[in-house]
Amino acid sequence: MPDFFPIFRWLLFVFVTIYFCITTIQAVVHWYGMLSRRDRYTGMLRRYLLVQTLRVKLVRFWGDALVCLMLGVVFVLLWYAHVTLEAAYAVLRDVT
Amino acid sequence: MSLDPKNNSTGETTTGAGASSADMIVRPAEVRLTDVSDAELRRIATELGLDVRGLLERSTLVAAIQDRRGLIANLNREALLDVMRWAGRRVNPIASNEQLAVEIAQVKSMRFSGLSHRGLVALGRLRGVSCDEAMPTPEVIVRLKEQEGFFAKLARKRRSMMGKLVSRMLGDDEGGTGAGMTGRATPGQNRAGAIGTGAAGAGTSSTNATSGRMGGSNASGGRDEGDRPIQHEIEESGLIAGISSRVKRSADQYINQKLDEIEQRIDRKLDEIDRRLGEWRDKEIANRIRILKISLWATVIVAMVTLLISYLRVYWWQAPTRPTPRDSTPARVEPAVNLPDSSQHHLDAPTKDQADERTSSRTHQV
Repeated sequence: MPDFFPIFRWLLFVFVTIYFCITTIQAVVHWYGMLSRRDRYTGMLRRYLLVQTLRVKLVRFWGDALVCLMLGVVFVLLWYAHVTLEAAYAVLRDVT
Repeated sequence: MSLDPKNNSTGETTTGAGASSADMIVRPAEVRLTDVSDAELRRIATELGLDVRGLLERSTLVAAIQDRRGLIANLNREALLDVMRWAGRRVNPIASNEQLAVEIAQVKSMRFSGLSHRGLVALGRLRGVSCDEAMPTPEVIVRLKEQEGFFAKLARKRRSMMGKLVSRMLGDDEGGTGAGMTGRATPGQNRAGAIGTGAAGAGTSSTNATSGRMGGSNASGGRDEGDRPIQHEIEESGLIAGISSRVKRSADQYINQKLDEIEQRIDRKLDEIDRRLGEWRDKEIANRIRILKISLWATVIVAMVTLLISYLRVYWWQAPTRPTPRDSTPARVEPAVNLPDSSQHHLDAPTKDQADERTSSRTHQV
């Protein structure tokens, strides 16, 4: 019976990376094309966007961010557990 | 009192030793008086406040204009500005003395309350009264009133009565100006130069009594354009001109109020847009984080399930087995017949060694 987790992990990595690349590149190209103009109003818009970014209060999202961080740690631990289990299985197989 | 200016080819004029440094003004090149027509000369003379009825000849007209310009050049600019503020006229910071004098020449008011002494002297000199800074204020006022002609005074009184009548009709109370000077006009109180005369008059309306009281107030000093009662305006410039100026001022005030309202509305809209953009930004960030959290939850759940499955697979289901050399041992055959003698019993019963081997093979299979 094949191990499902590595397959899932690999597929997740592939799809997420593709999605991330496509959306990020698309957004960057769009925003750059819109904000790179040298007129007065685009300059004002750039400064306004910068101000809006600086006004973000990260404290407002601390709950969700903490949960994501903890889930990330759990994911890493589970990954380590998988690797350890696979190694134990391999050793056991060699011994017997 | 006045010195003849010397018009050279460049159009520059020089003043005499009696003038202060502030009065030395380099005027730009002007049209030569000798080149203009008689009608134009009369127009220039009228603008400068000269009475052209006694100036019939061209040469006298030119000399009078030059004398007048010399007088204007010698006047203190601050004194002229005081007169402008007192008259409620709009002050242009870059206007020359001559431009100020042209404006002041149109002022016919004989109510001198709120005008500074230096302004009073400048006004007197512009109206042809011989006076100087050393003369006391009441004497200057007396001379100014004496200088006014009989018919001019009669017309002014007539306009004053008409103004009083109109103000009573409109319900505008008379300002307590009275006669006499009240002191120097403090600089910076002139709001007539600003577009926002409506702001100055925002608290006043055409029927507001405080405008008249403010116009005659000793504490405020100079008058503002929005504070002059309609009676004084009619007295100075006539019925139609007075009413039209009041109507224009009211229209300006209304427009300024509307512009202020529009500006406030725009500010409110901008604040609302700013607030909504901030909310949208926070919502987007929260959504992204929520998506990330859901993805992580799914991944963690799948990882835990697969770990459990792997654990079960390793330790319970697919334990690896080693082939043993005693797997070809034949199976035990049950005897068909029970023999009476002990030899058959000896053949049937397994030996101790066979029993040990079977036990060990079973152990390996497990």
